[in-house]
Parts: sequence; structure tokens; C-alpha cells
Amino acid sequence: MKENIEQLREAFLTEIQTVKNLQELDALRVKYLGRKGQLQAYFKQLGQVDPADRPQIGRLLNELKQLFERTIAEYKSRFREEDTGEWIDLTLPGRKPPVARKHPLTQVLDEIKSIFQSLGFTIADGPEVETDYYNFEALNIPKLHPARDMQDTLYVTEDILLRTHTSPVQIRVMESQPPPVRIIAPGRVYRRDTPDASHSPFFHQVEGLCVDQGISFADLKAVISEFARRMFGEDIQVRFRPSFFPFTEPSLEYDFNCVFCRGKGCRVCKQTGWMEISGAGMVDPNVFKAVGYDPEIYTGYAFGMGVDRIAMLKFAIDDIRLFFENDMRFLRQF
Amino acid sequence: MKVSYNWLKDYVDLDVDPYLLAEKLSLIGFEVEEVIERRLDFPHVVVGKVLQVTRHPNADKLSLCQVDVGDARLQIVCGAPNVEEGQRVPVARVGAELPIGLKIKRAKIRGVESEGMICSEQELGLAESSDGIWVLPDDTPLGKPLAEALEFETDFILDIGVTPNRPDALGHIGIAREVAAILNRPLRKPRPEFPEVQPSAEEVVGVEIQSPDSCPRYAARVIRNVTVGPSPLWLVRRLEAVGMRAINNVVDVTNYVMLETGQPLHAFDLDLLEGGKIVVRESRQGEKFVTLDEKEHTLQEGTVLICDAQKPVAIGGIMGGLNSEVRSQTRNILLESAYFSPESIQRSARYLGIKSEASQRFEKGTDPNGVRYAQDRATQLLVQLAGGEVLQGAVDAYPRRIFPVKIPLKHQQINTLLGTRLSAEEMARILERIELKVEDGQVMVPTFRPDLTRVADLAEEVARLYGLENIPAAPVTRMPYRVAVNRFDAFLDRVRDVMVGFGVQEVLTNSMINAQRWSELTGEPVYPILNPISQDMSGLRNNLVLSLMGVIQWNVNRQIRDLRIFEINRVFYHPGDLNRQPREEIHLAFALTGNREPELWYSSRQLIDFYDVKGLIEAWLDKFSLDKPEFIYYDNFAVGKEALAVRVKGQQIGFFGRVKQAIQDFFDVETPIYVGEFDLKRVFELLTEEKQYRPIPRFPWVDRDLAVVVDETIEVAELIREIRNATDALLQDVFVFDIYRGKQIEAGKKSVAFRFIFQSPERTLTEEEVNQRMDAILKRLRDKFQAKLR
Repeated sequence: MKENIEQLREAFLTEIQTVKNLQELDALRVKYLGRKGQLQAYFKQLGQVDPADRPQIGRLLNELKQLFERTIAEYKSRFREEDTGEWIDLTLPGRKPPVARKHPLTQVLDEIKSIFQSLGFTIADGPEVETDYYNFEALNIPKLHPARDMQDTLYVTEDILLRTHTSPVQIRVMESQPPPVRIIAPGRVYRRDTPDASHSPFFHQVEGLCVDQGISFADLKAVISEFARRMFGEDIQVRFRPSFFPFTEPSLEYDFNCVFCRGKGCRVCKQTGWMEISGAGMVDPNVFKAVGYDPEIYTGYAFGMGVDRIAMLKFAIDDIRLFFENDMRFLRQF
Repeated sequence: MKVSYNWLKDYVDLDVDPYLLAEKLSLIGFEVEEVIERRLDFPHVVVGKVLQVTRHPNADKLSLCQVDVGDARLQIVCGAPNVEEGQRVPVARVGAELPIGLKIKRAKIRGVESEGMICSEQELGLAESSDGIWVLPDDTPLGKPLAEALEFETDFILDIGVTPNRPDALGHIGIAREVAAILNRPLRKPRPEFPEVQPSAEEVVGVEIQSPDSCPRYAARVIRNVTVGPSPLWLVRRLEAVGMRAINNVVDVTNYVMLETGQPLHAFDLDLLEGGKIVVRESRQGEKFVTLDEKEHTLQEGTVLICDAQKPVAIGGIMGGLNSEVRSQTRNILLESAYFSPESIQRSARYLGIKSEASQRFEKGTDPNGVRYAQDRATQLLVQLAGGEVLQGAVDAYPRRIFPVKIPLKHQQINTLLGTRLSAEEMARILERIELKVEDGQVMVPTFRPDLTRVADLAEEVARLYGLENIPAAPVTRMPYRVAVNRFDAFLDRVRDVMVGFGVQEVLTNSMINAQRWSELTGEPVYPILNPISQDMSGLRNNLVLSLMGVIQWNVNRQIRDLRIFEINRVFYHPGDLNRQPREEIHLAFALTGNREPELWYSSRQLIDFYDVKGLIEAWLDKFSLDKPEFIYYDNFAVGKEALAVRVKGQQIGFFGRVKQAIQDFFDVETPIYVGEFDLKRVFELLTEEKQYRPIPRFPWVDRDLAVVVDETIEVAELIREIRNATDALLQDVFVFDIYRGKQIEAGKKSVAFRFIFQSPERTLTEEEVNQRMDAILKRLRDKFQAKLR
């Protein structure tokens, strides 16, 4: 009996290779697996087998049945697939949904916002058309300061102007709430500059402000350094240089390692290894007085950065006007 | 401010590399924008003497010069108008290569041999421009190489961006003080000494200050019998090194001392002053005055005027007058050194439009107590260089004395502000490096540092001299758990994501637009800018769609015609009264034009039409779960023919549609453009944060189709409204799955095919229930619209 089973197996495997289509496959199935098929005949003979051998023979028959079924199913799938066989050119391009992107400045701003939000900063906002008070006066910028000149600032009336920085948002936020404050104020600002490769009469800033008891320059240094690391990579160095702004004291400017040469010196950074980013400092006591915070109790830092400038550094863009021409061949690169 | 490295050596021992010094200065707050090497070595350029000048035989404007260069006599063709016999001049001999890139060769100029070139300062790279050849002093040694004859030494010019709070650094001594602090070396200030003669200055001139608020101090010295002439080369070179032209020894000394001390000085020709008197007063409205650059100014009230007994002779602190200027025949001098209030000079200099070396220093605040020092230093140099006798003493009117301030050295407060742990003694040592003496816990601030008045100001001095790089960044921060979230900003981000997801590209455009053109196009007033950069940026926009039209125009002109763009930005509405801020809204606008799909093998080859833009809006509203929008016929400056406004919960949130032909024509784009603009604040306020789960229906739905023929002009929305009215809540949904016009339909009619979905949350519907409703629908459509079953 064992030998017969083995022969049946061989015969099946030989015969199935000659099958050419679904009809022949079905005939084969009937022949081997049908109710009157060959396998069934052996099952019927099982009762006559020596009871000692019966379990083993039974198992062999069941295995054979499974093999037949499995093999036939495989052939069936193969024939069906070939059946639908219309040839298609796989090299044609697909039906592509329209692809669009955020403006590169938005992409950079998104990154800046998410870094500062993860550091606990809230996004604050204020009008683009401001009063002299919020843009200058409350920020300790004296009446005759050159920045207030009609040459540099766009005015609507003597008292109303297009904000020259997002710092007025600082004042508005501090007026509206007691410390602690931890905000960034992103937004569009305006200067009376004639457009050229490095100047645009409007551009985008992010102003940061943190006020609480015991906030120090060491905190400012930490927050700027952490921003640099997350924005441009682990190995970026930050340098602080003393400077002057009316609304901070001490005031400083901060530079990052050149993102192209990583500080070695190259054409982009004019061999200095550094790129000037922006200004920062500890909030001037006069600013606190303007908003009614007690400078004896609270200290704070403020910093600014240019979104356009950071984007230019990040993407090696040498002309700021490209951002606002909105040529699709430019925008599609980001 | 340009600072000469060699000049600094007069005040502090310097051996540090100039570039390294520049970096160190930057790190303590004096940003060196550039280091310029002045290497003054000119191979093959020697000192020559012009022996003879004759007319060039073939050219009117050229001269033929015979020049003695010591070892030879050269014939040189020269084009300069100022060449004269007897002059000592720099001669570039054959083989010389000039800094401007000119190689000197033996050449024939208009047929005449020329064996070199007589040079101007500009040609030697010493000046930006020159009027003619450089005439050297008569005692310059003949035949010697020029650099050697003039004792040139390589110098480095540091161009320092001095911040406006540091007027003390607008002189070499001020910078040297910082350098000395960096290097921890002593500062050496010159000690002026000179003999004085009788009578005393007071006996000869008087000083009367009538406006002590704007001029708290005015000191005059008198020097008699000076000889006005050219300055010695060392002085000329120092002035030139920092970009100032030499004029004559008297004027040059005043400029030199200003560049040294930061205190501007002015020399009057004493004999041109009437009445032996200086009167300082404020101008009257409309007074006229001619400054030494020969310009006449009409003065406003309150400008400080320096006058003699009769007339104004200078605009105080800004510029001297033509009527009292030192000239070659001047013998006697009144040397002015004064302190003017910064506010007064700022105001006057601004309206006069004069930015002089003097005004730029006075308006930042000079040292009221350095007036006499600078005056004495200049007097000493005048005696040295122009001879003369100094009358004894100065006439020093100082009606508003300014005293040094004291600031308590609150070292703990400074440590808190900086994050440092310095002791009071350490801080005192740091401050003393820049002449801030500490006594009994008080910092004595000299009057040359008007910027230091508060503890925070001291903190800055400590920080920059201690070194910002030496203060470690804080390792941890204390942060409140309660952090406000700006949900509106997050919403704007989501809108951007959704639009980009729909394949619409974000753009950012200028908020400033041509006010006149836009108010014509929109029929609305535009918020104007008082001092615009140009007509094209003379106002703030009151919509975004016109900006997007501009973007389309730009791209179409560059052969990019399939465009799907959006912008989220602010618009500004004129408040009626310009003394009020405009109302600002944040809008979303978009514009679609060109082919629906790129022209590829699968493209339908169809242009974007109304239903693309409407679909975009519907999908957009769906994304934000703004259900049941209402669409209302709409018309404005931009859209009208195929245009709708969108209302949600009774609130109008925006509009969209096909751009009017006039606007298309204005922007010169042929292909139809579809635009929309929405007020995002309003949309934001309509969003429902809470969402509640509704069970998914457990019972199968039944769908039925129905096609009816109706008049062409009957709106689908009306049909659907009536269908809904004719049934109940079991009708879950109605779709239009086909619109047909054509052969099998009467002209002026259309066939609309609906699919209805009936469903109950409670049971499986019976055939009868559904049929009942289908009958009711058909009946209603027949009654209302004379619809025919197709």
C-alpha cells in the first residue's frame, strides 16, 4: 500500500506539469480528488489495512490529499493571473496627484516655532500697523533716534507706522499679563529699504521674550545655543558679542558657525567662520517700567531673529527677492 | 569710525596682530567691520622735480614735462592741469606697476615719447579721487623711492562700527582705553604743555552763553601770530589713513585732536570776529546763515548759534561759518572747545540735513569735562606746527556744570542678571580697567561715559570685559506647567497643511501695493503710506486675490501656466480716520488656472473650471467639519459671473468664483482664473471642538435611482431642496450622478439623474416604505418643476 501511495504521488506531480489551462486543471482535480477519484479509492481500502499499519497509512493519505489541494490551488492562481493578461507598459508615469509645498519661509518658521514651543514658548501676535508708542516709545527708543527717521520707517501718520520689528508684541503681551512670560512673536515687519539682493522692504522676524524671577544672561545663552543646535545641528557653535539696543541692557549680538564650512572659513562667511544672526539682551529696566513690571523683582531676556536670513543660510539663497517673486521654479525646490 | 593701528601705538603698547586685535575688539563690543591693510610701498615710484613744462605738439590738453628723478632726466607726457615747473612729484618709472593696475611702459603718446608717469594720489591708491597730480612738499628728497622719502610704514585701518551709546570711542584714545583693558596694559594719554604769554585770553575776548541748556559749556583760547600753511607729512598721513583730507595746519590740528580725543574743535579767524566777543544763543525762526561749504541755510527756532558781537559765525556743534573761516592769511585764532546738549544737536542736524564729523559726535554726547583737555592738546600742536603765542588761560564759560555720576556696585544684582558668581572685588578690578573707580561700594562714572547710569549698565561693562564666552550657559530652566496655547496659530498651520495636501502651492507676497491702482480696482479706499518707497508700494492691501493675480501674471509670463496657489496673510481695512490703526484680518486666498491635470498621457485635456474651485472649497470645509455650507450668488470687484459667497451657520466666511474679464485683462492673462478669499478668524470661530460619536448604522441601506427631465435653468439645489421636503429622515443622502443634455432630450431641457440612499437606524427598510417615498419625490418634482420621468 505504501508503495502505491508513493506511485500516486509521483504520477500526480508529473501529470500536473502537463496541464495548460483551468479546464485541464479541473479535469485533473476530478481525477485525483473527485468523489470517484484515485485518492478516494485508497481511503476506501483503508478498512482492509492491517490495524497496526492503519494510523500510519491514514496519515500518509491525508498528507497526500493536502499536497494535491495545495498544488492545484497554486496552479489555479497562476492560470487566473495569466488569464487577465493584458500587457501594460510599466514605464509610463503614474497618475500623480498634484504636489505642492509650503513656502520656504513658512517651512523655516514652522521649524523655529516648533523648537521654541517645545522649550515652553507660546506664540504671540500683534498688529502690523502699530503706534509710535508700542514700536518705539515703550521700547526705550528715544524720540530723536535715527530708526524713527522718515528715511528708515514707513509711516501712516506721525503716530502710526508699519512696525519695524516684532518687539511691540513684547509690550502688548507684558501689558496684558503678569510674569512669568515666555513667548515668541513671529511676523512680518517693514523697513524703508529699496529692494536689492540683501534688502526687502518687508521681511519676517521672530522675537522671543522670557521674563520671570531670576532669569539671567546664562539662560539667554542656553536658549540661543539650544536653538542653534536643533536648527543647524549638534556641532554648531554660538558666539555672543556685546552690542547696543535701547530695549536691552546688556545687549549683544549672536553669531552661529558658518553652516556651510562649519567654522573653517569659506566664501559665504567671508573666511570668518561665523555668520551674524541677530541681536538679543537682557530686558532694559525702562521697558519693564513702561509695562508696570518691577525691575527689582523680575529680570528677563529678549532675542530676535530674521526668518528670511535663516532661510537664506539654510538653503544657500543669495537673493532675498526670490522669496517674494513666487516663481514656481523656485518654490518647487523646497 | 576708522582707527589706525599705528596711531593707537601712541597710547598703548601694541604688539598683537592687528587681525587678532580686531577680533578681540569685536568680542568686547566694538565690531570691526573690516581691517584694511595700508601697505605703502611703490616699487619704481620715485620723487621727481618738474624742470620744464611745454605744450604737447599734437594735443591741447597734454603737457610735455622734463622731470629730474635724481639719476636721470625723463621726458614725460602729462595730462594733469595742475602740473607746474618746480614741483616735487611722484614719478612712476618704466617697470612700475600702480595699485590701480596700470603697468608703466615706455610709450609714444600722440607721437611723443613718454618715459614714465607723474602720479596722482588716486593712481597710487591713496585716495578715492584726485583733482590732479600729487604735489609733494618742496623739501621731499629728490630721486628717493617715494615710500622711503615719505617715511611710509605699513598700517592697518580698523573700520569699527561704534554703537551709538559709546561716543567716548569716537576717538583714538577712547579705543586705546578699550585696547588697554583687553591687554591689561596702561593707557598713555598725551600731556599737553606749551608756554603762555600775557595778556590773558580773558582780556582779549569774552564768552557769553545765553542758552545754557543747549550749550552748557563753551571755552575759548586765543593764539596769536600763527602761520597758516600745509601740515607736516606725518599729520597729513594720519588724517588720510582714517579717511580725512588735509586742508591746512590749523584746520588739520583741530581735526586731528577730534580724531584723537573725540572732542570736536573749531578755529575762528579772530580778526573776522567783531567786538572781541563770543555770544552763544539760539536762532530765531527764519534766520539765514552761510556755512563754510558755501551753502545758505534757513534756520528754525532754537538752533545753537555761535555769534560775535554782531553776527552769527557758526552753527554750534554742526558747522562753522564762511564769514569767519581760517584761511591762508589768518594770523590770529580763537580756538573753540565746547559741550552742546546732544538733543539740541540731534534736532538741528536732522532738520538741516548736515551730518558732520562734529555733529555726529556732539549728538551722541561728548565729554563736558574733556573740553579743556582737547583744547590744550590742540593748542600744543598749533604752537608746534603753526608757531604763534598762546594768550594765558582760556575763557571758560560753564554755567551748567555736569558732574560724574555714582552708581552703587550691587554685585549680587549683577550676578543675578548675568548668571555669574563674581565677588564685589573681582567686579571692581574689571571696572577699573576702563577707568571706572570704585570707592566704598560706589562706582564713579567719568563724564566721558554718559551711557552708564544704572546697575544694569554696569552689568554690561562687567559682562563684556569678563567675557561673554566665560559665562556658562544655564543647564536647566524653571518653566511654568501652565503654558498658553495659541489655537488660532495652530489652526493657520492646519489650513496650510490642508491646502498643500490638496496640491495647492503656498506663496508669500508683498503687503504693500499701488494704493491708487488698487483703490480703482477694488472701489474701496486703501490704507495709505505717508512716505512710501515707491508708487507701487504706497498703501497696504485690502485683499489677497489681486496679489495672487500678480503671482499668476509673473509665472504665466515665464511659461508656467498651470497654477494652483494660495496665500495666508493679513489684509488691512481703512478705518475712515487715519489716526486710527486699520482693522487687520487674516485671510486665506487661492487662485487656480490652467490645465486640470498636467498634459500627460492620462490627462483629460481640460481647463480648470468653476467646479474645480467649488470642489476645493467643499473639500476644505469638509476637512474642518464645517457642515451644511450655504452658497449664495455673489458679486464683487474680482468675481461676478460664476461666483458664490459661502455661509456657515449664518455667517459669511468668504467668496470664490471666476475672475472678471476686466481684472483678467488688467493682469493680461488669457486663461480663465478662479479665485477665492476667506476670513480665517471667522472660520476659526465657527469650528466645533467637540465631536460626539454617532453609532454606525447596523441595518443595510437601500439605493434607488431616478432621472427626470426639467428646464435647463432649474437649479439642482432647488430640486434637492424639494426632494428633501417631500421625504423624511429616512432619506439619508441624495447625489446627482449624471447630467445629460443632447439628442434624446428636448432643447432647453436637461436630464438630471439622482441616486437616493434610504436608511433607518432601527430596522431594515421594507420595499413598500421606500416606494412610498420615491413616489412622493416624483410627484413633488412633477408638481413643482413639471419634471418628466426619463
